[in-house]
Amino acid sequence: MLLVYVPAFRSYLNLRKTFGEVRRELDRHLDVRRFELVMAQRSAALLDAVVLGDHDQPAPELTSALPAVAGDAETPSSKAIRRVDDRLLEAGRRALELARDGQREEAARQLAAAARIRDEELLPLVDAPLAGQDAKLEDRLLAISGQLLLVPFLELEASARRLRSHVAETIAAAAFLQHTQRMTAEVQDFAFLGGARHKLDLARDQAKKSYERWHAHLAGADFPLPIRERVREIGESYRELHRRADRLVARSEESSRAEAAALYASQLRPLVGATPGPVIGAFDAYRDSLAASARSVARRIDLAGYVLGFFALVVVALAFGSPLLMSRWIVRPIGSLTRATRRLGSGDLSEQVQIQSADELGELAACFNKMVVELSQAQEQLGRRERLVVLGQLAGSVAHEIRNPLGVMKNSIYFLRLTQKLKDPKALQHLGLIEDEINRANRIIVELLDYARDPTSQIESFDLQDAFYKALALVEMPESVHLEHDFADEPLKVSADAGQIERILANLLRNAVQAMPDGGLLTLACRRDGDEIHAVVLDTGVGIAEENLDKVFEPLYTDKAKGIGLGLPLSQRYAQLNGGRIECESRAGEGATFRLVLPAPRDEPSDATGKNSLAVQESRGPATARMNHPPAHKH
Amino acid sequence: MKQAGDLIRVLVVDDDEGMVATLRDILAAAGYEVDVAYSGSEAIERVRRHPPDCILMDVRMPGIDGVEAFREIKRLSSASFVIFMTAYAASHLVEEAWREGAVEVVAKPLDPEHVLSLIDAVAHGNPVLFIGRRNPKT
Repeated sequence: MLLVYVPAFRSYLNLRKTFGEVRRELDRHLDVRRFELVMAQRSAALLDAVVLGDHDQPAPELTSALPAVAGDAETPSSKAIRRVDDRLLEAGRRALELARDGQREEAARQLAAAARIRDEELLPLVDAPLAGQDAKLEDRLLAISGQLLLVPFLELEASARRLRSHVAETIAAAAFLQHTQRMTAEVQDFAFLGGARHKLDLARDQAKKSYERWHAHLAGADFPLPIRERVREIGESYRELHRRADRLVARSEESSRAEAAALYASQLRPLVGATPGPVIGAFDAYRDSLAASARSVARRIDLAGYVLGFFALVVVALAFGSPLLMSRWIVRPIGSLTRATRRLGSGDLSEQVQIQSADELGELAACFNKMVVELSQAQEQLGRRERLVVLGQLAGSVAHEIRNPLGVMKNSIYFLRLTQKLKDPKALQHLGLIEDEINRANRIIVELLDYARDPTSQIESFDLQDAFYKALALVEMPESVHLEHDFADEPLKVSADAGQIERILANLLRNAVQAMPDGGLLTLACRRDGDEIHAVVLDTGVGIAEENLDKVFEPLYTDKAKGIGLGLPLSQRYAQLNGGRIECESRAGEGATFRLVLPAPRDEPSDATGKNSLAVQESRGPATARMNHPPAHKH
Repeated sequence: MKQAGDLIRVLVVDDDEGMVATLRDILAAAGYEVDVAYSGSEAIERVRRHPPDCILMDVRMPGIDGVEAFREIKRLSSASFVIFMTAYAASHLVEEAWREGAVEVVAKPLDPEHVLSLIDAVAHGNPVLFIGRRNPKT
């Protein structure tokens, strides 16, 4: 078990960690990008204010635009950002003052100098790759998918790929938006500050190329349309700008600068003046959508964790239930988790597990608690049926994966028995215990798989009493349980799937034995009642409280210390599949009677026993025989 | 033909390392010569180099699965007897394994006693006993 679960759990924890890192890194990166866009926009607006001196437009706001995350940690990039923010604020104030004093040219010169500093400091950060983090994430996802069959169901890989393409498209959109800002700055520079023409051309080419790069993403990922539409609109207005910028080439320098100024006033100023403006708005919309996509991956990762944790827990609790192998540090947390799991199984979603430790168990407990919270939320939204469908799918995948570790353990026990010549009865007893627990865990898996599967029946005619004997051989009968049976003298033929009927009877017998932890009397009876044939299992155990009687056939309900509450629902399903049903009578503290009722084959006459509808304990004494307990069934 | 004194050679194929390790020890302790592979393609390679008398192989493996490997192995060695292991009986691969002529398909967790008796039967030349058996239900 450890061979699969430890690596799987570790790679799950790594995945969580890596995914967290990727999200933080991405956030930081987008913070820097947004900061750069805001700064560029502000520079343009400031230049606008000092050069054109248009008093209809309010002076640009001069407050710090530091992004929250970038300011948190002292990283090289956060230092650079703070430096740029300080300098630009200072330059902005001074430029506005100079402009008020009529020194417009000096003001513009200072702003241009500040913009150069901004470019030098910020552009390397903006253009820095994401350090291959997104590729790392995909590798991790692939690594975990090799170990978990959950993945096809959770579509972790697919959603991570989608996230990756969303990241790529967002970055492409951000790059285009950045290049449009740059082009604005170059138009301003050319029109008002005597900047070189080739810089404008360069910026125009860059913007064009990055628009095409963004456009190439549109066929792939599935970002919401309105978000893309906003970028496309910006692209359209810059396309117009391109066309008109081309016309500038033909003119003399003087007239082309005037043309550029007119171009600026008509096309760009509306974009620059608005706050936050279409550019920042488009960026933010992209970023929000990306965040939603990241959250969806995070949810899937969480879900993988819950499932891993839950089934690891079941296997650890069952298969390593031997005291020989337990150590204290694992017993208590597992006990507390197991209790909580049981409460969870019986529908109590209020309890949380208190395990404070920094190791995998602590993680597991945290995951478990999260799962409980999410489950109780889900319970409000989903009907019982829907949850069962999901459980069925999960069970199919995970139960399958648990059989390998169980198989390895079973092989190991066989090997130890084969080679070690163990004489110590205690050691042998413990090997037996482990093997029993493996078989029990496997039985739970079989139940889960059967529950997840759509069963079909192969009808044959057989003696129900024979099925009882076969079922008895499958159930371990403690010495303290006395067995009596009250069978008819002649065969009681039924037409049904023999395997399924044996499973039902074995399940009823096992339940009865488990209901009598201190021993008691187990009575089996078979008889014909009208056109029905009854197989009855009656115990003198703890019984079932009246309010729980109708719950025993509901999936996941259990009041036993062992089991997950699928035995009776599955038995009921098998019974119905064979045209019958299971009935239950009980009172708390007074034992229970479970009755498998099957239709009698039509061709057989209804004989005298048909009248016999007496309760089992009152039935014919002489026919009641003591049976020797079969020894525990072992391989 | 096997010479007297030659050890019976069994190839164990499973992507689960624990499964391979435990089966190798059990088979070695039971007196077999054991070779191992951790994937379908590795199994084909092993058979190419040194054909075993019997192969114990997982049905479901990443990459080339057990059944696909079996098809290739049959091309390489006409006398290849394969016992398949599976953790999930209701898979279409199990059906295919039967169709391809598996000696037996055994469910995990294995009953090692049963597996040893199967290998013993194969090794002593009466695998026919098993062919055509019903697909077990578990």
